[in-house]
Amino acid sequence: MNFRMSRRMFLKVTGTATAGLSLPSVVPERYLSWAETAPEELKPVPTFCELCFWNCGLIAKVQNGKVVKIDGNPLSERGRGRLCGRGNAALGSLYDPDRLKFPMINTGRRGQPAWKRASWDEALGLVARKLEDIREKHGPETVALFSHGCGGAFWKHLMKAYGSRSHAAPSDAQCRGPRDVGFTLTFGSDVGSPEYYDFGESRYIVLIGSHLGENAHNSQVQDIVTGLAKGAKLAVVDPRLSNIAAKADHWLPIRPATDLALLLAWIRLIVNEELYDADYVKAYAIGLPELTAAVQEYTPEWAAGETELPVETIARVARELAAHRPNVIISAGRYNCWYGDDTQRCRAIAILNALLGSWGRPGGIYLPAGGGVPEYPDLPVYPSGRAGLPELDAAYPFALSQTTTSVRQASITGKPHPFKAWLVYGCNLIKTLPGRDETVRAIDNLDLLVAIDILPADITRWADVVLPECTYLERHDALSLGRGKNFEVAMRQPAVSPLFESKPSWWITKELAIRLGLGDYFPWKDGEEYLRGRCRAGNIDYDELRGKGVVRFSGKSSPYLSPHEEREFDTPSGKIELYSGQLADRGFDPVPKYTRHEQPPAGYFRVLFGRSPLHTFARTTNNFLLADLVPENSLWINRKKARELGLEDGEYVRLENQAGFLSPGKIRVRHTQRLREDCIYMVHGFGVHSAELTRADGKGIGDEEMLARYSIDPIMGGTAMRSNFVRVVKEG
Amino acid sequence: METREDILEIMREDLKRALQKTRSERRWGMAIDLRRCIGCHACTTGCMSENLTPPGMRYRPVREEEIGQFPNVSLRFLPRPCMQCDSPTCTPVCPVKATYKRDDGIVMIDYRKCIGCRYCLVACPYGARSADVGHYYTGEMKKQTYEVENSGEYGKVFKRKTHWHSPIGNARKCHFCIHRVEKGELTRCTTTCLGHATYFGDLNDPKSLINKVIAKANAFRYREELGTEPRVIYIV
Amino acid sequence: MRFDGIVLPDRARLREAVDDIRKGRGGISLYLSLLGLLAGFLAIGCIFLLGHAHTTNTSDLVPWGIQITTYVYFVLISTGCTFVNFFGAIFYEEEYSPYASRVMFLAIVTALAAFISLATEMGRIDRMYYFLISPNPASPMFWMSVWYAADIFIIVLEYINIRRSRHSRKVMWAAFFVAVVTYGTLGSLFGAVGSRAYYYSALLPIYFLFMAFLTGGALCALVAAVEGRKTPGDGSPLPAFFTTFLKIGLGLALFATFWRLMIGLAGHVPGSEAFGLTLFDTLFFGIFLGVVVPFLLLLATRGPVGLIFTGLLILATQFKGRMDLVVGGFRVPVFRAYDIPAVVQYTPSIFEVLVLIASVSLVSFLYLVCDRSGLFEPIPGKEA
Ligand SMILES: Nc1nc2c(c(=O)[nH]1)N[C@H]1C(S)=C(S)[C@@H](COP(=O)(O)OP(=O)(O)OC[C@H]3O[C@@H](n4cnc5c(=O)[nH]c(N)nc54)[C@H](O)[C@@H]3O)O[C@H]1N2
Ligand SMILES: Nc1nc2c(c(=O)[nH]1)N[C@H]1C(S)=C(S)[C@@H](COP(=O)(O)OP(=O)(O)OC[C@H]3O[C@@H](n4cnc5c(=O)[nH]c(N)nc54)[C@H](O)[C@@H]3O)O[C@H]1N2
Ligand code: SF4
Ligand code: SF4
Ligand code: SF4
Ligand code: SF4
Ligand code: SF4
Ligand SMILES: [Mo]
Repeated sequence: MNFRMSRRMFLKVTGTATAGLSLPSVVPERYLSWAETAPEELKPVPTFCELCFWNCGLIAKVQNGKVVKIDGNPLSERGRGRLCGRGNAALGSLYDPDRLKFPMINTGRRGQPAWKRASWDEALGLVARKLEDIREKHGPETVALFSHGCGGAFWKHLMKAYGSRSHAAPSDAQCRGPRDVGFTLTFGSDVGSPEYYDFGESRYIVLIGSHLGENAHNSQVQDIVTGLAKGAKLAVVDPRLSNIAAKADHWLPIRPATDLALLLAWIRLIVNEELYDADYVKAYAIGLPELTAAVQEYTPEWAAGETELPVETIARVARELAAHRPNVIISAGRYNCWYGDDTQRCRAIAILNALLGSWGRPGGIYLPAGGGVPEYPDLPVYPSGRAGLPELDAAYPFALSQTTTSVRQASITGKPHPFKAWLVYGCNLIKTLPGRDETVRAIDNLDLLVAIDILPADITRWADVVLPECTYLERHDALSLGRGKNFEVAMRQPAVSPLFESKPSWWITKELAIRLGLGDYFPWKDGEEYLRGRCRAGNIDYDELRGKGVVRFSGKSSPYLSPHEEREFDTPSGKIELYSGQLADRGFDPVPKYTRHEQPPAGYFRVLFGRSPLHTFARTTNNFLLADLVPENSLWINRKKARELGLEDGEYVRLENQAGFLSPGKIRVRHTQRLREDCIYMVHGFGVHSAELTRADGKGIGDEEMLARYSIDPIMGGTAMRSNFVRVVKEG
Repeated sequence: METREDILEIMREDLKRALQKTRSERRWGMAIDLRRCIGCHACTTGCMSENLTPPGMRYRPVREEEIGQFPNVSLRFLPRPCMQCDSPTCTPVCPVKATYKRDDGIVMIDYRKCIGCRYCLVACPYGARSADVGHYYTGEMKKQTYEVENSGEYGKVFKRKTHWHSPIGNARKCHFCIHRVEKGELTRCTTTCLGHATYFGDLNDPKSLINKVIAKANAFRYREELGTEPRVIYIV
Repeated sequence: MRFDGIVLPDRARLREAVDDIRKGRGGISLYLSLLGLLAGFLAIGCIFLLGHAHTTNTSDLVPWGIQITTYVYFVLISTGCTFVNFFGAIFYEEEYSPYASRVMFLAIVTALAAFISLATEMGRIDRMYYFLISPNPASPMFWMSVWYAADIFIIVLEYINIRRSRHSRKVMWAAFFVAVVTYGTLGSLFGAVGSRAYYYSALLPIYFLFMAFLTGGALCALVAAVEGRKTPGDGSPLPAFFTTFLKIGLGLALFATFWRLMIGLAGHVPGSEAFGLTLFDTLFFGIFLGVVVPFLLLLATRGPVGLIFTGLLILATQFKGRMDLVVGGFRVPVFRAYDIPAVVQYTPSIFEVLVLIASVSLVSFLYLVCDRSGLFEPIPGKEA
């Protein structure tokens, strides 16, 4: 036997011995102490965060096979050594005892599951058999993938190999889709993710809605605060005094749903007073005369009436903004599925940026560093899809990717073609798609729903098979590529081995592929070999990457246009399109037009929602560190209004929407002066209904629960979710 | 102000210089620029995870103050670590000298001595102290090993195994991450601050960033009228 | 020195008493005390075994709750008993002397009850020896422990002296002064906390002294009245000085309560809102129920029953007063963030309440058993 004493043991023994020997009055510190004196060293493992998609670099510190602490990775451009309020709470997710522990098969009904614990072999066998079946009977295109998050890459790969063509994500048509389309229609490309917002160099920033600080996009928050510290002026358009609005020179508490009126009035003022960047517009843009003509009806006075903002403020911000051009940015934030005409609103924002010459200018929207990493080398080609398969999103001519709602609609109606199975990776469709009834109806039509998740989230309750993925601190994963001013490649590696029976996606997909006869598509032995292969293909030193967690390649191209640079934009005209011929061709307004949206009837409030700085949707509501700080959401309501309604600060109420639906849960009233009187505000992610999530279950109300209706942006299929009205029901 | 360069790098250099001096020559201090604080609460959770604090315990909460009436409202965030007062009200009351002010200014708590009388909690005017009574996030029965791991606070080893294991039973508070600082790392709240609002360094070093920052700025110390002489300086 | 039957109950009579109790002849109050004691000590066991996390409702916002209240309450009673002993002996020598041993016995057991409650609330009771090896002379709490040691020593001595009929006026005076200093120190333990407006006041040590006198007087009067009721036949009326003490005590309490309130309400420092928040309790429980009603009762009733009732009322309202004082200091949080409410509420857990019950039961049980065993009877053979 080996009797070597570990250092720990040695310290323990000597510690006790000294404690016994020394007189308490001489060395009281040592007396009767349980403590050892020298802490062990922590082993650092660089990886990156997945508590949101920003993917900041982090360093996990490991001791005795446990992650004990984490820190930011200074090399990461997206985090710069800092982690946000959620990112710091990694251990609350990793060590959440409520995590999915083993594969489960639903022997009950969807929505009211009865779980049977299964082995991986059994669960994967079942899924593979069903997928085989579907492929044979209905064709591979009847399987859809929903995915959000890094590991989704493996699932997409599997689905393409299988022959499915439908991959949708709530992070598009329920999030940034309208913005990306609005900008692409105008500039030929979008603003990316992380967005190419050059806040750090701006001299004047306008935020439309975007509530940075609460929306904790790590490096973006750092940039905007840096920009402000360097003297940038800030105007924030938001019905609520958001955290960032508190730093603004001008807070514009706009009447919800009227942003387009404000934007159009600004455009009119800027073109009429000739405050735009004439050289820039001349060199790069087309359609100024049409634009000028189209916006003439939108006077500041008119906009003041629509928006309930003082006319002087409207004019003043426009003039100040123009005075600082081109180092300005009118930011469309990220989430944009607001009122159904969102692509047009984002277009208006894009047009303003174009007029002021901010695209490709310091402090505006910079040009990202190029770069990429090829896929794993020498993979077999994907099978080509069935010819003549009708286009899923035909109704939305400018959709940049498949929309979740089209897949859902097709699953219900079988049109334009049916769906028989959904694989849901890292999406919580029950909470993130509007129209829950439709989601449930669609799911009821399926032969198979597989949820690949880390938690027994709401969606897993509707699954036939639940596959537990291990968390981001326990796995190798696909590479995360960051396109900022520099191009960076970040890699994920396990800090500890997976808890319970959870497995990484590279493993699950490979095993499934083997069972589906697609093993050739997954030639890598393990996650590490996959990463090595990709690094080899991309000329990246794998060992360097593994040691640093992230490697950065300085941009080969300048982030800014040089004076008089010739530039072709990726639009049909090759120019920035102030007037969009494409839209006109398809029967849409080539220049955004204002449409008036319904305002809440008396006694009702519009439901506004946003982010808690300490949560990411529902994915962190069960994280024990974050739930300790923010255990539930609250109902922000203007104090005066609350008093009128006799609502006490802190009391629990229910909400009833205009369709008469009463919320099952309750929410705490929060009096505030930070909000207009015609709306209420809550953070998204609460109102979880899954008993296995012991901390989150039944806490607060989800804004999505109150959605009686949503409208669809006809241009790209985004679902607008802020057009719902509720009244507050006092609880007896 | 320092914006182009990475202020963390500058402060790490400052730290290195300070650590070359003897302990009593150093005077650790913190500055928090409220103009930059965006209320992201990253410092709060950073600290929670650095110090493995149990439920309900926050060494550095962030207060949100709403001032005025709609639409003339303003909002201010006030992060509150322990002020490491030069004239603390918490140390004199401790009956057993378990908490004391060290010569570099850190107000220490000796987890081996503290009897858990909570007198210091009562005495601190900032509410900076907490009593660790032995809660676990994941429940006594299911408690995850993470929760009994050593946080390394004060450079010592303490594992919260049962309620007879310190720091359970003790008073706890922010200690300017002295276990990190002495290894040449900045405090966790400084390194994670998204607003770049938190500065840390040696107040005795005129060249340190923190001194430059407070010299130029409009600064105040929280509840200074109490005579506590806090070492956390707020910039407005 | 003989203890049996003099300082401690006589063994034979104790055995008799225990027998009686076994046979169900103990009397309702004794059984209640026993029950309280059992439940209370069970709860105390739980507190030590399970830890504070699972047993107490105190928190960072309300670090001191009903256990500290119980502690303060009983030490004040203990002091009060010392005062009663002192003034009784000085001003009413003959009339008072039959009660002296009961009074000092009560002083000791209430102090004991106080410490038990205190012990249940320390985070690490096992480390109390640091008071010896690492004393902090700057801390009122340290001095409190020093004075307590002295106080306990001297009240025990006083008790022994009384029982052995070797009463020394020097010891009695010393006990009086040590008591004054000890409870003054306790007062300063709260009163010197500059950060809590609700405590911070030079008046607090005085307030404590007055309250001690009132509550100690109330307990003594209660006990004397119960005694008086047991022997209605012998015709000797209850000595008037108990009532007099109570009247004086009530006057002092009114003075202290009223002025603490007035000064507090006038304050404008952060935290002085607490006086406004506790205004109703102070006026209703502290002054009306706690002073005015008992005073009227004293005027209106004669005989033991009235006194018993008045004594109980005072003891109850003063407990409420102590609770308001201790917890009142935490009503307004010094720093608000996250979900911390503007006004903090505290409801003691069942375990904490049982600590109070344990303390109360301990006092009544020890007293009743010793009384039954004839401990307080004049010592046979020695003429009082
Ligand atoms: N901490 C945290 N950060 C996150 C996330 C998270 O879950 N947690 N999620 C991330 C994701 S996926 C996204 S898409 C982003 C979203 O973050 P943003 O892009 O910033 O989202 P918005 O919807 O623009 O911002 C919400 C704000 O819009 C305001 N608002 C509501 N209605 C209107 C209106 O009619 N007009 C105007 N002008 N303002 C209005 C609300 O009051 C609120 O302050 O956040 C990202 N960052
Ligand atoms: N009503 C309403 N709807 C909305 C929004 C809103 O604010 N209100 N926001 C919209 C926006 S901006 C977006 S981007 C979308 C986002 O919607 P989704 O893409 O659905 O994102 P999440 O809600 O974060 O769902 C994440 C799911 O992934 C799981 N998960 C977390 N980490 C992992 C992992 O490592 N592996 C696996 N396999 N699973 C993991 C979580 O447990 C959770 O079930 O929602 C949109 N929908
Ligand atoms: S922004 Fe926060 S949650 Fe998102 S990846 Fe970065 S650290 Fe993680
Ligand atoms: S803030 Fe409080 S705990 Fe910290 S040193 Fe000052 S008095 Fe002590
Ligand atoms: S709780 Fe500990 S540190 Fe605080 S006063 Fe008591 S013994 Fe001292
Ligand atoms: S200095 Fe360290 S202990 Fe103090 S608040 Fe910051 S992170 Fe927490
Ligand atoms: S991390 Fe920095 S910006 Fe965020 S709340 Fe804390 S001090 Fe403020
Ligand atoms: Mo999003």
